[in-house]
Formats: sequence, structure tokens, C-alpha cells
Amino acid sequence: MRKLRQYFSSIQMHMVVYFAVLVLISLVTFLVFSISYTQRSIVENSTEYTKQLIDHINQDIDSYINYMENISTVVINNQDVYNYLFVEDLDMANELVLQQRIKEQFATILSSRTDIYNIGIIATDAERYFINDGQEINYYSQKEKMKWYQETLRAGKSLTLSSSHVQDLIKDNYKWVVTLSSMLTNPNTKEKDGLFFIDLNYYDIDELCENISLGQKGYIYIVDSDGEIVYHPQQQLIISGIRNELIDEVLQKSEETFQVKYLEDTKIYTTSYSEKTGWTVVGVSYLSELMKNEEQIKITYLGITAILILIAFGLAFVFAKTITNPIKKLQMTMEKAQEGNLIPIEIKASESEIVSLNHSFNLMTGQITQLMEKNVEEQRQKRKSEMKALQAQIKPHFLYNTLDSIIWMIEVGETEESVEMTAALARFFRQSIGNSDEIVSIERELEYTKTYLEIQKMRYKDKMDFVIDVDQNIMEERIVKLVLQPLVENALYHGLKYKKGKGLIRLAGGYHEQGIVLTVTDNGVGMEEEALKHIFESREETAQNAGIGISNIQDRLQLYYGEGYGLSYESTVGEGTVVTVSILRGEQDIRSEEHTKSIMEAEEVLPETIQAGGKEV
Amino acid sequence: MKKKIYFIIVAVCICMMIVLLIGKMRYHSYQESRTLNMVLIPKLGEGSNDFWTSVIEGAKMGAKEYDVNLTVMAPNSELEYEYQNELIQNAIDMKPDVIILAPLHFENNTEAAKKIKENGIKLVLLDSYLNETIQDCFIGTDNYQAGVDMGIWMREYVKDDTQIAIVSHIKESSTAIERESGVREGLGVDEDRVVAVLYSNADYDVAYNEVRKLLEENPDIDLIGGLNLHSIIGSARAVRDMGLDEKVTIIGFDNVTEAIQLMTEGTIEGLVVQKPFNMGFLGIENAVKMESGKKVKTVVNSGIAMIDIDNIYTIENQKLLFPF
Repeated sequence: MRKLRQYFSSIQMHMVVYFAVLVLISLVTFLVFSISYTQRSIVENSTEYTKQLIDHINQDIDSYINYMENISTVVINNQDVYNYLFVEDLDMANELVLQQRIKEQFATILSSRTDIYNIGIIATDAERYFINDGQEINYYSQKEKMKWYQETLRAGKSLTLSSSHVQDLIKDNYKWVVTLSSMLTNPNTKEKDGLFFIDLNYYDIDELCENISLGQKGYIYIVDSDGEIVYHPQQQLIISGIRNELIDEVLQKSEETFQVKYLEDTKIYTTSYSEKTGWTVVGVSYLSELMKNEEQIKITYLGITAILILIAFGLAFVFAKTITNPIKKLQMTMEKAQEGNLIPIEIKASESEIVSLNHSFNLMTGQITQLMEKNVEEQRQKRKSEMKALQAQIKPHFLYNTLDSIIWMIEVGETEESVEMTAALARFFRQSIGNSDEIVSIERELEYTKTYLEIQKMRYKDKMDFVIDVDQNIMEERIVKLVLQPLVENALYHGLKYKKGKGLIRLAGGYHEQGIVLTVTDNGVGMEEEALKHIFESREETAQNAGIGISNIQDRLQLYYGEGYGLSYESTVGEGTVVTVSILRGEQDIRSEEHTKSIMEAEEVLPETIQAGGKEV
Repeated sequence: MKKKIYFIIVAVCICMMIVLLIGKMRYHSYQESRTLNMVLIPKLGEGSNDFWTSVIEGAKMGAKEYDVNLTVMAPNSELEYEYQNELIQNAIDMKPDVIILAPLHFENNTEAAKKIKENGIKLVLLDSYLNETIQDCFIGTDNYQAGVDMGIWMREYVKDDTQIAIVSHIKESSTAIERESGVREGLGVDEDRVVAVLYSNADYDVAYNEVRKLLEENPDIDLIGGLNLHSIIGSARAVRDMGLDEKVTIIGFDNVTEAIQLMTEGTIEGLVVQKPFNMGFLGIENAVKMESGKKVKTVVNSGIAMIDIDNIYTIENQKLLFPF
């Protein structure tokens, strides 16, 4: 679980996510735009197509009407018509001749065009008329109640085009027609006493409109200039109020395309107006039908988008990996560096950031390594200089006092003893200064301490004595220099000096579980518990105790052997003090390399010291 | 926390895409699956008479508008109720969503019609009822209300000494019963003036002879109400032939070109005309509504029009009276 979370919080995953979101947003935007564009272009194309269709219908109707107008002009200008209808005292023979001529003319017209249902001339009093091939008139015609006739009466001599209606002028013949008609003027009375009419078969228009396919549900309808429906597939439903159709809108917006919401769908209205007929042909198509194919397009788009997103995801994964891989390598190296393994790396990456990061990292590890080496060196130098300081601290007083003692001895005449003391002094200085090694053998350290004790014993004959009881086996073991002598000096000056009677200093040593243990025991005044607590605090600066600080010794021991080694004090007031020095055994082998190195370094420093020392001495 | 949010964003985006995709697909399939199958069994087929031709035309218009796959199966005569039962069985075998039936017989089509419902097919009755109410929806003329309207209209022609004859069609037919009681209701106090009820048995000649006989026996009758096409045409022919155009007023049901002619000639004063095209269209429309789970009235009135000499050729009525 946690590993999973870590995985999702990695740079790689972040990059994948960012990338994917980016791709997703751009793809979805693209999708929306392309779908809406497709939709718009589909609508535009279809309205364009519808427009062409209905324009074509209008042209067809215009050509019908044109033809009818031409026929009308021929008939209206035919003198026979007027003679037949209006000459009052026409004899039988002439009437028949005229009738025959009109019949022939009508026959020609009717045979030339099947779309013309009726053609006729009627005197208003209906005494004379001729219809088609001589059909009988309907004496019960209600033409006066019909709009087309009313309009013809109003228009007079000019031709009038009707809307669609039932023609009831002919007996037993009720046909749906569109009528082109005009009144005929009686040349004698100058009254409009006659009617000419020519009927266009309504079903030609019906068929014209019905045959045009505007999808499964789309349809065409025609409205005349008065807003009456000439043709509508659902005319009966509209009359009954079951359906509504746009009439006024269509008349106002002729030659335009507009959309209307209808139930859950949208109807697209395309209109075409004809100057000739005054009719407006309207094409209605349903958006949902146009969009049927668009559904497929949408699904295709969506499919492509989904695939593209998958691909983008995959690529994002790979890309992110190539970028994060060097970072990961760097991260791993850094983890190693944390553990102290400072190795430079070479990451193969083309990204300048990574290269520079790599460079910086290598530079940094290099500097750290350098610093660490420098630090080690400095530590060594510090120890060395501390040693020198110690050597320099061998107290001048001790020298002066010893020299005073020697003078005093010579004056008293204790020549032999003075010689011995002088020799011891010389030995002591040779031992202490003559060697700048940090590490010496225990034997040597003891020798030197012993010389110091001998000199002091000579000075304070009755005051002190000392015993050295060290296991001979440890003589070859090694120890940090100048440890025992300062401890002995402290024992002498802080332990025995204030004791009444003779004091004893005991130096012991031998192997122990953890290494080697050396003890300096005195039977002096001992220390208070309070003083014991503060024994390791640096005292170098206090003038009274200008000895070598316990803390100095402790520091050097622990620096060299590590925590857990060094000095420990036990003391009882009035009974004395025991200092235990615990060190590692076998140091001569482990540190042999460093040892030789330090010897070599020491040799460089040594001659000066010896020279300096030599001059002094 | 932040990482979680990013992860959620991506997950949501992907989910949205999937939902969109599925939604679009479902919408697509929904549209395709909505093509309903319906069978129309009228009383007569296309071209038989104006009424049923109009019904079928209307139904086809509805089928086109609502994208319905419509099959029409019709008997050849109004007497073939047994053949209509066969047609009903055939229709059931086609397993349509809806069967729209105009039963020829009040009783003898009921058993067959019950099977429609037993097969889990919705039943819409057109024009006529069955003796059991098993249909999901009825669409037709409200004959009682039409009768009331006609009765009120007839009262306009009632004079002090007016006697009324009602020429009905088939005694037991539901339409005859409903129309007659409607007319009586519409006549109100003048109902007492009804002196005779004749039955044409859906035959012009029977009506003609019955009316002629009645008028000869009872010359005081000056107002005739015809309750269907055969009754009114038979009556009008008889009145015309007897030269009683001026004296006798005829008002009746249904429309045919001859009725219009008789009206323009002055024999018939008024016609109550049904709207068969609307009937057919509403049949499909209500069936579709029913299938799409919308609430539908159990009885849908397809309406009537009252025609007299003055409004024959109005724009509204021309299409109704001369459908073809």
C-alpha cells in the first residue's frame, strides 16, 4: 500500500498525470470543436440541399403557371370565344361551328398537357358555356362562395391564380385543382359577363412535393401570399388543430432558413418565394435525422480520442521514464553517499539540468572527500601540536628546582648524589623532548616516568617513595605518549604534597579483559566527591594548577582509542586516589601503517626540536 | 494529498469519457430500437370508400411522422367479420407492438381480439367498440355527443306541427344506439315529435324503400334524421324522387360526394361529418405515446364537423369533404 502510494507520488507518475491531463484537455477540446463543426457543416449542407430542391419545385410550378398563362392568353385572345359566349342572336349552324373550333382548340391544349384537368369558358348567366370536350356544367355550383371565384371577380380582366381547392363547376366532377382564371368582357355591353378558367391538376403539385425526400420525416409545404396552405401533407390535421404549422413566420422570413424546436427535436425550415405565383415553398427537415450519421461520426471521434489517450498515456510513461531514470540513479548514488560512500558517477543524460546536477554532485562529493581528508589531517596536526605543547609544558619550575637541588647538593658536598641527579635530569629531558612520536612503547613511557620519579625522590627523600609493578609482557605494547608522567606529577603535587608523613606512589599495569590497564595509586589526601566530579573539566587556565590538565589526557586518549577507553578516577578522602588508564592492546599491529607514517612525518619535525632542545641543554 | 488530487482528476476525466461514450452509444441504439411495429386492421381497405381510405391515409401519415413500421390488413366487405378474425390471428403471429383494430362486429370479433391482449400486444380500437372493454385505448367519433349536436341542430328546423323520423342503420350496432340516444337527448322537449325509427341495415335501397313507404304512409313527416351514410343517402334519394325537397328537411351523418351534391341541390340540409383522417392519425399517435410510456386517454374523440350549404367550400371543409 505504502509502496503504491510512493509509486504514485514519484516524479514519473506526476509527469504521466500532467501529460495525460494536458492531452485529455486538448483532445476533448478538439473533440467538442470538431463535433460541433461537423454538426454545423451537416446542417449547412442539408439546408443548402433543401434550398436547391425547393427552388427547383418553385421553378417547376412557375413553368406550369407560365404554360397555363400562355394558354390563357391564346384562349382569351380568341375571337371565337367571345362570339360564342356573347353574340346574342347566334344561329344554330354558326354556334356549332364556333363550338367545334373551340372544342378543337381545347382538345389540342388538353392532349398536349396531362397536368391540365379542365379548361372552360362560361357566360355568367350559364346559358352558353364550353368545358373541356363539352362536359355538362354543374348547375348547383357554389362558385360564388369560393375564394378563387371571388378573387377572379375582383381582379377582372387580369389572370388570377388560386390556391388549391375543389372545382365544382363541372357536373359529377369534383377535382382538387389550382385554377388560373379571368373574367371575359362582353364586347357589346363592356360588362364582365364571362369566365375563363384553366385548372392545373393539384396532384401534380402534390406529387412534386411528395416525391422530394427530406429524410424519413421531412416534408414540403406551400403557402400562398394570403397565408393559405396550397399544399401540406398534414393539411387535415392542421385544419383540425391537431397539428400546427408556421404560416406567418414563413411569409415574413421568405428566402431564409430558420430552426424551430419541436417536441424533443428541432425542425429546420428553408423557404423559397416565387414572384410569379406569390407562393412560398417551404422545406422542413428534422435535425435528428440529419444527425443520424453524425452519431456514427461522434462515436468514431470518441473512439479515436480514447485510443489517442491510451497512446498518450503509454508515451507519457516512457518519456517520463527517460527523464526520471538519471534522476533515480542520482538519487541512489546520493543514498550511498549518505552512508558515506562518496563515489563520483557518470549519468548518461541529454538533459542539461541532469548533466549539471551530475556535475555538481560530483564536484560536491569531491569537495567533501577533500574536506574529510583535510579534517583528518587537521586532527593529526592538532594532536601533534598538543603533544608539543605538553612537551613544552614540562615545567620550568621542575627544572629550576631540580637545578637548585643539584647546586645545594654540590655545596654540601654530596657530589656523588649530585652527579646522579644531574644524569637523571639529562635522561629525563632526553626522554621527554628527544622523541616527537605520538605513540611510544609502554616500556619507554615507564622509563621516562620512572626517571621523573627518581628525580623527585632525590629531592623529597623523606616525603615519598614509589613502586613500579608492571607486567613485563605489556612492555612492548604501545601507548599514547605523556600519559603516565602527568598523572604521577598530579599524584605528587595534589595527593602527597599535603600529606603528613611519607607517601607512596604505585604504578601497576597488565592485561585486562578489554585491553591493557595501567594504574597510578597514591596514598595521599584523596579528593572530595565534588572535586572528583569536576576532574575532567579543563583546568589549564587556572594558575594554581598549572599542571597538565586531566581533561587534556582524557581527550587524547579518547581521541585515539575511542569512547569507553581513557581515564577513570577513584578516590577516598584521607586514603588516597587511584587513576586507571585503560587502552587497547595490540595497537602496534593495527596502527602500524599510521605509525610508520607518523614516524616519517615526525622525522621531518624532529631535527628542529632536537636542535632547539640541544641548544637549551 | 496533492498527488491524490491529481490521480482523482485523471480518474474522473477517464470516467467521464467512458460515460460519454456509453451514453452516446446507448442514445444511438435507443433511436434505432424505437421503430415500432404496428398492424392496422380497418373495416375496409384503401380505395373501398372515402371514409376508410382516409383512415388508412391518416394512419400512414402518423406512421411516417413517428417512424412506425405499419402493416395494413383489411377485409373486403363490412360483412366479413370472420375473415377479420383470421386477419387478427395473422396480425398476432407477426408479433407487433400494437394492433389497431376497427372491429366489424360488436360481439363476434371479441374472442379474437382477446387473443391480442393474451399475447401481450397492445390493442387500440378504432371507430367501433366491442361488447367487452379489453382495449387499451379507443379512438373514434364520440357518437353520443355527435348525436346530441345533431339533435340540437335538428331543433332549428322544428316547426309547430313538425313530425320527425329517425333512419338508423343496424339495430344492435353500438354506433346506431349511441347516435340515436344522442339525437333524442339533443332534441330535448321535441323528442316527442319522433314518430318513427327505421333501420336501413346499411343498404341504400332498404333505406330508400323504407323512407318512401313511411312518407307515403305519413305525409306529415317533415324532418328526417339519418344516422349513417346509407340511411341519409337512401332518405334523400327518396325525398328527391318524391319531389318533397322543399317540404322535408334532412339532416344526417356521414359524407360522400353524392351527399354534397344532394346538399347543393337542396335536398339535404345538414351533414354531421366525421374526421376519418384524424381518426387514423390519432390511432397511431396514441399507440406511439402508449408504447413510450406516456399517459393516454382511454377514449380519444377524433371530432366532427357540421356541414351546411354555406360552409361546404370553406378552406377548412373542402379537405374533409373531398379528401381525394
